[in-house]
Amino acid sequence: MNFEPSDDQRAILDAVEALLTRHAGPKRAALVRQHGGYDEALHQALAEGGFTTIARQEGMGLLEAALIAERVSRHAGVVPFAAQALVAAGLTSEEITGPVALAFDWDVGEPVRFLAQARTLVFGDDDGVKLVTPEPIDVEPVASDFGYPMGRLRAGFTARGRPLGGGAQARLSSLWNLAIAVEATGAMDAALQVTVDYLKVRKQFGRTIGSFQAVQHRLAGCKVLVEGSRWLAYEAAYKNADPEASATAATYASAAAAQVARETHQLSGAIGFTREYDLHVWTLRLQALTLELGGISGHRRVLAALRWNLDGEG
Amino acid sequence: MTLDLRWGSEQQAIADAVAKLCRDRVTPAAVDATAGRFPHEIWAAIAELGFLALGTPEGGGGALEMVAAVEVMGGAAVPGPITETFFATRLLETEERERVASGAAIVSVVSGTLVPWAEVASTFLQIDGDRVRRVDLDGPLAPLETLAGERWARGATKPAGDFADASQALVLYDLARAAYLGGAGHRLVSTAAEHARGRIQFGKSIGRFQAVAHPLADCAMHLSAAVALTRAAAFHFDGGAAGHARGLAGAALRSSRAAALDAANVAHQVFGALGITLEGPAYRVSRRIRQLASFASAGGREDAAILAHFGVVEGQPAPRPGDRP
Repeated sequence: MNFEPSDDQRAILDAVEALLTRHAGPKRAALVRQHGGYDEALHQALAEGGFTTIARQEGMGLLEAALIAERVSRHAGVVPFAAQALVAAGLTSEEITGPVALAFDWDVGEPVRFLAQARTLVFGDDDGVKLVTPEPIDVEPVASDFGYPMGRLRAGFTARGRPLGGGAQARLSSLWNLAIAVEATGAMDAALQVTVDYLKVRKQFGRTIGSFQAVQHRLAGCKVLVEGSRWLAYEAAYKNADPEASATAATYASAAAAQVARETHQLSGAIGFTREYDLHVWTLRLQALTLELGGISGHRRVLAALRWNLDGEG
Repeated sequence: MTLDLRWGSEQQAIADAVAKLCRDRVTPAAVDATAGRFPHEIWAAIAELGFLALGTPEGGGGALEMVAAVEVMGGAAVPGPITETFFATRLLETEERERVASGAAIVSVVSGTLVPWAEVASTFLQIDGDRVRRVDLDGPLAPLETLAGERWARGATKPAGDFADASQALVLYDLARAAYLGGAGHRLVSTAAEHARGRIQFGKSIGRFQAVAHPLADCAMHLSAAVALTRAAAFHFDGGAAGHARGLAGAALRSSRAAALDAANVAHQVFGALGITLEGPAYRVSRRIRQLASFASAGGREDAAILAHFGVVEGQPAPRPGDRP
């Protein structure tokens, strides 16, 4: 077992970090938000770098896509990278035109991330999973403060398109779970780092707040949650988005996200609620992420069914 | 506004009497002696003093008196279907109600195929959203032991008639469970704090470490909030403000469940290995918290009531500050 990145992975991640440092980050996210909420330039840069199609390249797979998606999220990239490079790429070898949105039939009428900008909607229903090109008439934009642009499928939406065969709905669920775990990990990591950096300098009661044991232990508790989320997500990606591993990762990451968001705000005090301070960039995204696929209770039900064949009935 | 959430003399007298009963008859040894069976002797002792009748017209008390008693019972980890009994006595007609309040008949609130105390119960109830129905056993029973060491069973049931209006009973059920969980959580935190005071490790009593003391303090704070909410809901219920009480009771249950579960987790961390021994002070209370918390959700009914209380109706936008009602 080797938990260190390989040379190839290290090279890819270094290149991605350099790209994201230039083309992403919380300040850019705030700017993009003012201009419609989707970062076309970042999308281009990731595509040109070959990162969007990484899962389909020789010797690469979902793990590499997951590693990159985590970093895109950590740098607050306003693009549906995981939806395209992890989920869509895991479902089909067809070339996918981004941006990509994900939805099941029960999401009709509910806010869906990046739907108003999407050129490809991955839509799952009883027939299977279809790759749909959403028409403007199908979609209405939804005002969103969550750091992601949102859109809503109008009532009566029917998906037109060729269905992907053979158990694609279950595969979509697993890949989407993995994407949630990975994106949540990146966002939690950044939220925690922002908070740690602040607590190292903020002085109160005669010393830096970060020097109090109660504060340190709470931060350590958050770190444990982030690391747990990270390694469960990597395990699921390494196992090619195995259903149980992906459900485990999503369940853990969703629970962790709720706690990390609460703790980082509690420890940051009043400044944590200002737009000038960056914490909200990630904690609002964590709120959006933890609402997908039924949230923590939805994830727990799926996991119980997969692990112990329980259907959730008493 | 004057809402005094401290007990009046009547509620305090009830709380004191229940506390004395629990000290005398619901000791750890007495609870352990009931393992694997219905706690008949403890049940009889509680019934004899009239405490099971607190929620009935004959018992004279209202929701506040019930909450006063149940908070103490939660702290003592009283076994058996205490909260279900208070639920049922608000629902049943005179004769059956008196048998339940006297301890002669045992109530079971069925959840799917899970039948609490199936082998000894005679009144079986099922909650379906806002409706409550009576059910009868319908087939063989497969006994099992619950998280709290109680002897329940899996078995099928069949409907045997709906109750006309269960709304008041459902509010009392929420309040009883909230009170039990709040009392249990407080007891666990107190016991953990006492342990932290006395336990010397790393050169001093462990309670002097901030990382031990602060989580306990946070738990106490959340439990106090939950208890206050429960008492406020009971106050409004007794005052006849049914709609108000309903939303608050749902909120109280939600708050108490979260606070009690958190308290159990924190207390076990503080106790260390002692917390998971049969001889230790924690597990009798924490396992009851875990069991009650597992069944303290009625499929979103309480959430809908909470939202309605704050003016949020499903499908409509939430009111914003400054909106006219």
